Amino acid sequence: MLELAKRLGVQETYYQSINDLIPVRYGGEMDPEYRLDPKGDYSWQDMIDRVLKDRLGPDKGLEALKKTGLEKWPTRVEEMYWRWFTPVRVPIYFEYFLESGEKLEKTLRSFGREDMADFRFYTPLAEWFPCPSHEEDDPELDLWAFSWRPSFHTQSSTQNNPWLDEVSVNDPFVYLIQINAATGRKKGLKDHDVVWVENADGQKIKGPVKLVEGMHPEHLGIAGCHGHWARGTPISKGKGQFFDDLINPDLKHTDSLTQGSDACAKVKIYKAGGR
Amino acid sequence: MQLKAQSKWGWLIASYLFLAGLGGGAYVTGVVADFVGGDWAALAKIGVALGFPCVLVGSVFLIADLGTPANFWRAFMRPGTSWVARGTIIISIFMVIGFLHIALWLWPFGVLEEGSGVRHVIGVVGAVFAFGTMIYTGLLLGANRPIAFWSTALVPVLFLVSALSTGTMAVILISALGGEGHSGPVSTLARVDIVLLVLEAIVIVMYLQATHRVPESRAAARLVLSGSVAPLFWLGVAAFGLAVPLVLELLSAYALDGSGAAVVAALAAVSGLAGGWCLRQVVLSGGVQAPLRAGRFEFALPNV
Amino acid sequence: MPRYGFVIDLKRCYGCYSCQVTCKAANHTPKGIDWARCVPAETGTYPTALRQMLPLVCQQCREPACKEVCPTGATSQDENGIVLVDKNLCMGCKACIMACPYGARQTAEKWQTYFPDADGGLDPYEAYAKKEWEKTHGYGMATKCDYCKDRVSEGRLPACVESCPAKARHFGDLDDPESEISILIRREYGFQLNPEFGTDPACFYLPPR
Repeated sequence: MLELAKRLGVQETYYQSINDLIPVRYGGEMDPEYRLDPKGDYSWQDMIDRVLKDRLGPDKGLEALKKTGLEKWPTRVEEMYWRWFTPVRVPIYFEYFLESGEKLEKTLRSFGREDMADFRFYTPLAEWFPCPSHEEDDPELDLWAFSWRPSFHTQSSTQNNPWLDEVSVNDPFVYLIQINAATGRKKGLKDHDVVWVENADGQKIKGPVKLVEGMHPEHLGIAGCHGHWARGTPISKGKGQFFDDLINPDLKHTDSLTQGSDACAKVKIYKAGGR
Repeated sequence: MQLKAQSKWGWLIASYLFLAGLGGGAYVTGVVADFVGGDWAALAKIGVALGFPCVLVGSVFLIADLGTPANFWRAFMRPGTSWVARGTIIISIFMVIGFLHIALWLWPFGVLEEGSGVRHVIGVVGAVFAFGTMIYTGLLLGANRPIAFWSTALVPVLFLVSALSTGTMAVILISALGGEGHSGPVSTLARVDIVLLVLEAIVIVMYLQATHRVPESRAAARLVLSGSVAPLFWLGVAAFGLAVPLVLELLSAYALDGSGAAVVAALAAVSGLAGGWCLRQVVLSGGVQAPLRAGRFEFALPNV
Repeated sequence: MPRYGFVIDLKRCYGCYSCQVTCKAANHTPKGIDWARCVPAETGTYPTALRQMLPLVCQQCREPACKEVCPTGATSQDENGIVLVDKNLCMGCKACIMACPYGARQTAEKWQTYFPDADGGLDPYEAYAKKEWEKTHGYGMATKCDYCKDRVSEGRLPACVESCPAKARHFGDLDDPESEISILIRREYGFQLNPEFGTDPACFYLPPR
């Protein structure tokens, strides 16, 4: 971001926005001494150093932190409940959505690319729209796939931790695709049969299946954010499944307004052979 | 819920249980043959000679299975504590008597060859500890209360019958290998073994029948009869351990005579010995631990 | 002398495995050894199925099955009711592992590294952990949870109790009728796991949903 801002020549705005963000996010005004000078030229390290010195004291900059590796401080009220101290109003009616929708439509039309957004979503009131999987009527796609999160993993960053990986391996659900036991038996599946899960567009993921009782008969659960493939993550590589492979990152499966993608997909499931 | 069988005691312990039983059974066969005397003398010597070495090799397997083998002597220090400790002492006494019996009678000293009295006394005392050894292998497993498949009164009985049967078969096998031919005593021994095999089959049926009405017992029975241990049970125990030796020994005892009978009896013995080992392995691999219960939930212990 | 005990509230446990990982960090146990474990289970059929986690620690039984089968006298109970293994006396016969109904005992054959560096060596944390493990325990012998004896003697709580985010674990003195755990056991119908084995555990559970 910093690099990009510098190349675009907007680093002044960038520095100013950092100055504005720190008091909001971490509570309390910044010491003028450590505020970033919009005219200055800082590296990322400089900025971290300044923020640390401002928050923790002049002797606890980046160099000191590199030595100790850990710093503790009592959380201030402004830090914990920063929303309270930030003078903002939360709008109930998003009437400006209508306006920005029209503006966007005009702009895109001028490029001849009105297919780049779905303007239905620009409504001033909260509204529910069915995602494509709700309108899927192929009888072969008989299961709704969705993703859930094990409580001991944080986003996609902890899967390469060997301790947590050991926990996941021993857990009978995390690295497996779960479906309802009765549904699975109807399909002739047993625990740990390797299956393909395929969506309407033919995208598919593979993994061992686990028949569980605590699952709706028409649902299929996949624990979130696994299926790493990078060589740099040797422990999590190739374990578990990556649910988002079942959802196309295209406009049809994305909310134009928030860039949120669908949370479910209609899928079929069949044996891949092997266990 | 999938109950898993224990995996900590594997083929080393199975071999130990098998060899301890085999040694005890062969020794008892030898002592009985010595009491009968006459043309049973050769068999008596074979039986007594088998006792000590088999149990010794078995103990080596047992020590190899220990986590810290260098500490094995500590098992002698607290005889009152447990069945492992008591069993260690029983087996040690048996090994000492068996060794003395061999050393004083067969090789290197032949001092017991003359008068049979002292020899018989040693034999009787040795046989008592041989029985102890055979039964103890079952009691060792029976002490584990959470494993219902093991903690029944029939395990010691099953192991005792199997030990006597494998001991007899070992004596038959060695006598056939030694070119003794198919003498009268060997034939009689084969007939005794037929009875033992039938008895063993009955005990196995009873053992599988008389399981406790608990999930771990049911899981163990399923594992043994139709699960992953089933091939070992049906092929190893039922076919090679019981059916094949029974048929072959019936043949050798009643239908054949001469060298043909000896070969068939030897084959029966080899098959039966393999079956004896399989039986120990089946019982060990069927050791399913009890689930933990909380409310309506049953929790299977992982990697026991 | 207090008799230390646990109360684990099954209603509160949601299966985050914090106890398992914290125990590993606090006691430097090698790979494959988890003194504090979580075991999941399901009951019933859809739509009335329930899922429940069972956090396990050594139950520090009053009449331990492991002590009964220990042939060398390596297993002993201290004045607080904690069952201990003497690493110099244990010969690793695994009889206690078979006899324990709660799977509390485990052995490690060798040190398996979790965090190998590029040449498969140990990083500083693991080198320290390995040294600590070899000092306090070792390989081949039975090892078990001791309710963080050293921490408790310093006046701290066992590591798993401290880290439980759901506050499902409580530690205290069973002999003191006014202690937190005694009150919890009385008021909330605390029960012991599998009482049919006659071990009288010091670890009580509060009923699940």
